[in-house]
Amino acid sequence: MYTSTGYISFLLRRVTGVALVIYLFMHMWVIGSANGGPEVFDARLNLVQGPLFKLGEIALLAAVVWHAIDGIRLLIVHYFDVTEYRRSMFWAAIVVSAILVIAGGIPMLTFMLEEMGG
Amino acid sequence: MPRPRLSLPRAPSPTGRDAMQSAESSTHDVVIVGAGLAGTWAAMVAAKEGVDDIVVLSKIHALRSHSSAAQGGVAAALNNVRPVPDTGPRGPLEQIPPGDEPIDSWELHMFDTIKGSDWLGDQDAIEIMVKEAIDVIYEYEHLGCVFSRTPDGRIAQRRFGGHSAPRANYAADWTGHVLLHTVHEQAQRQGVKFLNEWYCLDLIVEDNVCRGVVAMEVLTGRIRTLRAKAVIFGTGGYGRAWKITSNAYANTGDGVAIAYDAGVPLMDMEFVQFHPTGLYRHGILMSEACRGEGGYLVNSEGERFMERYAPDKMELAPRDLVSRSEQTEIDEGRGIEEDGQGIYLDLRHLGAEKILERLPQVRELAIDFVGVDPIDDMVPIQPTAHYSMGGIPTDADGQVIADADGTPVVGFYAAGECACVSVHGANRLGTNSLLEASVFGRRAGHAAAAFVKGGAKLQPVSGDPAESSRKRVRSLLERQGDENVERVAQDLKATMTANCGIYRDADKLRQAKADVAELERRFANAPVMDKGSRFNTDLLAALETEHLLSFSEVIVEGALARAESRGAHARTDYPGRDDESWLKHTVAHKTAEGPRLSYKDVNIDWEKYPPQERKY
Amino acid sequence: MGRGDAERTATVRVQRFNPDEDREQRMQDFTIVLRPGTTVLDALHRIKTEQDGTLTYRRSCRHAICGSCAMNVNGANRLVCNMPLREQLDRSGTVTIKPLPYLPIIKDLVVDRSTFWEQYLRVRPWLVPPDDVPEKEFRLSPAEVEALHHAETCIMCGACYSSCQVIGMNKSYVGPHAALKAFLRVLDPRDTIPGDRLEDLSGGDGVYRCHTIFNCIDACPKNLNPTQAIETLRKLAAKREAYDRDRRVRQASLSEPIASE
Repeated sequence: MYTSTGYISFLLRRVTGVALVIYLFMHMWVIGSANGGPEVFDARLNLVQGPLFKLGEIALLAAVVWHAIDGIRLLIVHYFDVTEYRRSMFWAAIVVSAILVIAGGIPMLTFMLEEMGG
Repeated sequence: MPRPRLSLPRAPSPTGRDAMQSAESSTHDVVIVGAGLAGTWAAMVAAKEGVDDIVVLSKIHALRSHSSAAQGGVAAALNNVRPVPDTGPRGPLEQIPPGDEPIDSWELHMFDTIKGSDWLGDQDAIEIMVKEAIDVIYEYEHLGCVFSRTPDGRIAQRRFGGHSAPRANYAADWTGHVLLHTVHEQAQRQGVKFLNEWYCLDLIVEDNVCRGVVAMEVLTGRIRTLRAKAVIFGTGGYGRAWKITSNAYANTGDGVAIAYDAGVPLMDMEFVQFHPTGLYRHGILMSEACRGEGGYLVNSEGERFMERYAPDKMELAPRDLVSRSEQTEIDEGRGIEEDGQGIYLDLRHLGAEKILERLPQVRELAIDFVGVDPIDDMVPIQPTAHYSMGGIPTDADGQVIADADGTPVVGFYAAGECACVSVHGANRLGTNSLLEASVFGRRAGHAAAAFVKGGAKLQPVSGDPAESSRKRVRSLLERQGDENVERVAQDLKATMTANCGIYRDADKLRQAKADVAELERRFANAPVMDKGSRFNTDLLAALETEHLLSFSEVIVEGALARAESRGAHARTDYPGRDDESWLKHTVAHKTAEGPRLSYKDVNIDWEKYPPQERKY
Repeated sequence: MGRGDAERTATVRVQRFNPDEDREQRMQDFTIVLRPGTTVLDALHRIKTEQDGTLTYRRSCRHAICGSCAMNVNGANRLVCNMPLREQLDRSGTVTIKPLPYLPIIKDLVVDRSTFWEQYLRVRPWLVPPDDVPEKEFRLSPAEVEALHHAETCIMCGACYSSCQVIGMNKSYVGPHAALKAFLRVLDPRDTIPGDRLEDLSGGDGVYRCHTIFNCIDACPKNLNPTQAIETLRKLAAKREAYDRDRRVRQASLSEPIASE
């Protein structure tokens, strides 16, 4: 019951949703500093260039992708009579999200490693 | 995640003695015991007619009442359906086109019921029931029951045993469930107050006037007196006195036993119906609708043996006849399964579509409990104790009577299976019980409401009526001994099944009588393991077993005395029906020496429906 | 003792808790002999009557129609009366029985269902038919009745309700059982207040609180689908005025025979 695909998807939805809101505020905090001119902006941007943040960006990609794909799954559940396929739809969402995250994450990771090396 | 705790006042000592001492009592206009169809109809009608303070007590939650287990249908001559012309008595059915001749009538329903009752049914009450049947079904539908339908939108009907026209109005095969939920909801709408999980312990009757009940709140163990101007019992039947039964655990005849102990007589207790198709070894009901839709009964030799017992109606003969036929086949060695106690029910020829549409619940039961899919295989069944024709005697308004002369027990009413009006006499036709509970539940509610609104007063009670119940509970909780309540109950079921079952004779019945007496002695040494006051279901089981013993004595006594075979009461030593000596109801009063029997006349219209030979 | 004997007993692990005597919930193991056809309810009955009379649970019909015996068995909510014991045993021959989750425990496997019944009453489970009723039955087509048949078979057992994490977080949520009952009434052509009901259900703690976790479908012993009922109610709620108008049109011909194709 606590490990049903429905409950896991609900938990992930909540977690990614909250995470995205937090990211949004961080993003506004960084971008908003452009009001103070190029030096202020560059300084703020530098703060979020570290390897931890780079990994964080991959996590951000995962959160956005999962939240969007799961959102599409939910729209389908809402408009069509598909509860019979609830489990396979969950796994399909996982697989599609994984593909997209890997496809996007690999270049990001490569770039990050290159930057660190060079 | 921490679980929220139920905040109850902390119950006192583990032995529960103090909880039982609370001398609380309350007063009401009407107290109804039992929240099945009969009790709920009574409550709803009384509320609609303006009675203010109505409480319905039920020892289990109202929606768990056994009315919900009824499957096949509820009878009324609506004339929605007829056999397709020229297809024979077991051919398909079709809706009756508007303007075409009706094929059914309340008169026909009445005759079928009288014949089904083996002429022991009171014909004036039967007439009322079958006439009101039509109105009651339409009222159910107006209140929201989701019946199955004919193509033109009318309530669908099917054939049923003992009925000469298809008049079983059905909702797939969960008719009772639909009816119960509908009336319960409507009673809630009327603001009826349900006290769920309150166990009635005693009926307060003094000088032939009913003054209320004593009941235990199961949650806390507190015992209270509920004084009332009128009391209505809708407490159901008592199939749990037999080993194989379709009845719920809850059907232990408490209302019947409590009334008997309070001095109210019981009527026709020896007439117990064994339904032909209970699942083998479990007894779980496989609706008569299986046969109504065309199913066959087959013995170990592959023979459709009903040909020999009821060549005209075959499997759709009344239940007592079919059960006896099955039992004979079993006794003569043509039963199935390892112990030879089963019979096959064959539904394969009905086809998957019909079974899935009309008998879905029955199919699931067969799959879940005996691992057989009726679409593909024959289902093993056996006769199962199903319905109690006997009970608390009433007139046609649900007014309980104190003796064979009809003296009323003022303020006490009863309806449904626990009552004996008697509309079913010696045997009940299928679909007539849902009908009885509905019609007489309504009438009892109306009668009680008229009584209350007519100026009935709350009658005084002498002393503390709850005291004897408290003593009884205390003694159950404190007793020692090496007997076991469940073992006593199982032994009772064993002797009732072997000696007071489908076929009886004087020797077997005398054995049963001795066994019951012995079991009562043994029961006195059976302790209750749970001594607490909080939700003590062990105590309830002991109280229920006490009740089983109490009314079993009455059943055996009545069966022993009745030297004839009529309806469901079959004596191998008196195989014929004896209208000269036995066309009468058995009335049993409790005395220190056991049940004292007297007899009551049957209401018969000698011109229209004189007793005939009962052949199918 | 041969190999056959090792297969013939089962361990029934039950959660015990009596608020009058225990400070904490605890698990207790009972051993019973396996007989053919034993259900989990049979096992509980034998334990209670032969070994420990204080073990407390609700039951009545024992054939899955009364709804009393819903419990949590091996982590899932279901009725115990139609559940063969053999199929519930894990590799060590044990079945674990706990009361329905999220509800206060009265004693052992008996829980307090007050909020469950409150939500049931809150949606007005009774049909509200038109004031003028025909002499005979209202006419409903077999198709209209077919749409109602599943929701009609709900036995109010509570398995769905107490498997729902939304209920776990918020006891004022209407719950799958009440939503299913409301669905039954909203869709019934005889009901005169579908718009009213839909308005109620779209309020706070109504059908929009469902997070499509689907546990209710998994738990239901009658294979009903409260989630689909809730989705349907949401869609209808969005156009409730139109739905109400359509209902009045339908009701104008409720006493007329259904035309056949």
